[in-house]
Amino acid sequence: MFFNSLNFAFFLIIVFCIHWFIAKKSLKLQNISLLVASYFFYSCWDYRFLFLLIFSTFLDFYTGIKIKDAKNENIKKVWFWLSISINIGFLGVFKYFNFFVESFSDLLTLGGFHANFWTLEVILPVGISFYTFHGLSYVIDIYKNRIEAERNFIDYALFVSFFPLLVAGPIERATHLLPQFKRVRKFDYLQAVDGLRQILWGLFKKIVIADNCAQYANTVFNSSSEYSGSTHVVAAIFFAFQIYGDFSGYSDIAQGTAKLFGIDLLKNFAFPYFSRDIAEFWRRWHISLSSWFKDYLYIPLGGSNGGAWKKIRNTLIIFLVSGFWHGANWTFIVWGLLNALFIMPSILIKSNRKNLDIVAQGRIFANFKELLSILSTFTLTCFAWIFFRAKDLSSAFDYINCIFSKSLFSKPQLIRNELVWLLLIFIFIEWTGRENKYAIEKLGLKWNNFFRLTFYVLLAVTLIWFKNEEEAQFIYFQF
Amino acid sequence: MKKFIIKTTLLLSIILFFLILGLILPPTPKAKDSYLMGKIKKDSLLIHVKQPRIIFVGGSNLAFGLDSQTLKDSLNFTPINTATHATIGLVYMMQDVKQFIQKNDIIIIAPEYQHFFGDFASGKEELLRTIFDTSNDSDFFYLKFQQYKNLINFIPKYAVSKFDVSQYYSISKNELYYTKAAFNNFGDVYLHWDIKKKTIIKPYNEILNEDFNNDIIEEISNFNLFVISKKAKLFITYPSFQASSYKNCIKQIEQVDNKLKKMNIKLLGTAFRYTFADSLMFDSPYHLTKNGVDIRTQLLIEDLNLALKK
Repeated sequence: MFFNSLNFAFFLIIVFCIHWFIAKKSLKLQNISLLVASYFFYSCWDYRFLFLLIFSTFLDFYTGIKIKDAKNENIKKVWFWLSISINIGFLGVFKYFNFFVESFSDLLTLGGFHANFWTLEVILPVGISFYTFHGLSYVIDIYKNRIEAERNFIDYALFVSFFPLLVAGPIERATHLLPQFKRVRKFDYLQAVDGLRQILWGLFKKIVIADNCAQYANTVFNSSSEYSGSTHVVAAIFFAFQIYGDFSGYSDIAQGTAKLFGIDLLKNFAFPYFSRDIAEFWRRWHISLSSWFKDYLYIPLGGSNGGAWKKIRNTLIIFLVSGFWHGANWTFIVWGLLNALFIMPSILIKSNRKNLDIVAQGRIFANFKELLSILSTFTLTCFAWIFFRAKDLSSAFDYINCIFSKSLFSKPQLIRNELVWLLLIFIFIEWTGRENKYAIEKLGLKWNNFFRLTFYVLLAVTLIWFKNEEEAQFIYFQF
Repeated sequence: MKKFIIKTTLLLSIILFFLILGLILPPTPKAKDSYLMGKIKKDSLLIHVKQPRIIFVGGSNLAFGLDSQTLKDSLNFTPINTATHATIGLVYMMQDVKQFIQKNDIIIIAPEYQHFFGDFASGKEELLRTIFDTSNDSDFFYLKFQQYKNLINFIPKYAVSKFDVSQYYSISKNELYYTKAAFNNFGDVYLHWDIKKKTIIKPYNEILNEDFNNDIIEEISNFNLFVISKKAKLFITYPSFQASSYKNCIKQIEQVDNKLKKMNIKLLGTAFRYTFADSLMFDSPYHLTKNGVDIRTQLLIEDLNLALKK
């Protein structure tokens, strides 16, 4: 059940009605109804993996209590490592086992040995990387005495499985989300309207921007050698907008949906393509994952304290792990490595925190220097996306090879004018709304009812008009 | 809450109003000129062509793959080629032709292989356009559940297309052989016969990445019973198919073939017999150039002669 499907719309209306009309006054009923809805939502993907989700939830819930109640440090450690190793173990088996086996086999082949190793015929459970990270942060926080163990299974299970964030985040923290499941939620008109606006904008990003850019990007990436260098450049840019529209659109829909139930989720995107350097980009892209890695990996490793060697080591580790988190493929690892290399100079000269504000804050236009910084950061990002998108490393290198050909300065092929116009309008709206939580958060709020209604109807009509035949899956669902 | 419900209902009602209006409005000038409009002419042929006649049912492999005049000259039956687009779905094609079947008619189905996988046979966007633009809108109420399920996603886009200004004034960018003018007096697309094919046709790597649809076998069986009840005769033949696609999709084609062979319906030829060299394909792995059309027509004449003698 995709967020951009009619099935999800019907599902959402039903759950909304149950939550606000039947379970209105009882916290227990509100949470149970949301949990049942979340499990139903997950089982629509593949009911067999529902058991894995429930087991993983129960494991972290139970070990959390055991860690908190442990009478001595050794017992605490045993429960802690048990939880960590099982969680990582699940990820390892479902996501990384075949990658390690195949890479080892390739390595042996390089050394002149030929071995046929056994690989697993398994499909990746939807959202496993996300809900495992929920569980891991929860257990680590308890072990580090940052939070109390949750004693109510329903509340904890809802924290892990709340349907808007279940399949692709944002990766929540117990300190932020769990308290919201502890109080009876009262309907807030402004929050609900804000939620609907965010859903509408998320759908626009996904259906109009991402899915249409995807058609172009897929055509070129799938038959790379047939197109000119300039076409490859345009396809890489379109892919950058595809993945942004896809994932930030998903995050907007998730946050907007949660708001309909009175829940506030962590922000996941903050207009990353207007970043002036790579460090700023990573503070604005997939924020919940970046901050997860920062809190649970980078800082425990020493962060940016210590000598140059330690800074290099920590930066490399965090970006390689981040790349590997996205998928068991060398392309993701190289993507992580490239980002590490891009960010490394600013960390070494301690300039990685110089752009903490919003670009051109309080002004309509950016100045020349800002514009140049934004364009150079975007260029680096697009270059790294080539590896993210390519099916393997050799395809990525072939793609880059095709860019730097004689046809680099020719007219790009396959360009659809309407898509270019759409992208320009999209960039304009995002730019004007960059000081808000999402681009249209405050757009039209002061207009009269007629104009505002017309704006919403036009947005809805645009969604219908640009919707592709097939419901396109969100890219991050595969992670 | 009351305010929220009222406002969202108002917004949804306005959107719904435009969608319903879009469905009710007559076809746009561009739609009236479209390839799918060929159905009106074909329906007229089904009503007016006298016996003895052969009715061909299928997707564009038939539309772009027959020379009915040659068939008529060789067999002394008048062919009626009802085919337009595969994504109308085999289920609707059979539903629709039922009303025209007469005693002694020969009906030949040549379904694209896609019809046997997933829910392809229940139709897609073209089915919606066929019903609302070329048929009686009331046909919509006689569809099957799976057809509604497939069509629901296309309704908003179809309705909104009625408000697209370019549908009312700009000239169709389609080649002439993708307009209603493409069909000859038998229902064959003939406007591409003199055109030299432009590009190499990329073969399919698989038919569809979906499971075999056993329901369609049952649908064909039921259709056969209906044809028998009308004292007419049903044959099934294979679509014209690009050789390299055939090679790539051999397993799925064999799956189709095995199911068809188990049915109590006479098959004309074999899947392999109706594969054509890549050079004979026009603009898709199913569409033939004139040379391909001539070969396929001869093959069909041979197979039909054989079948009718038995």
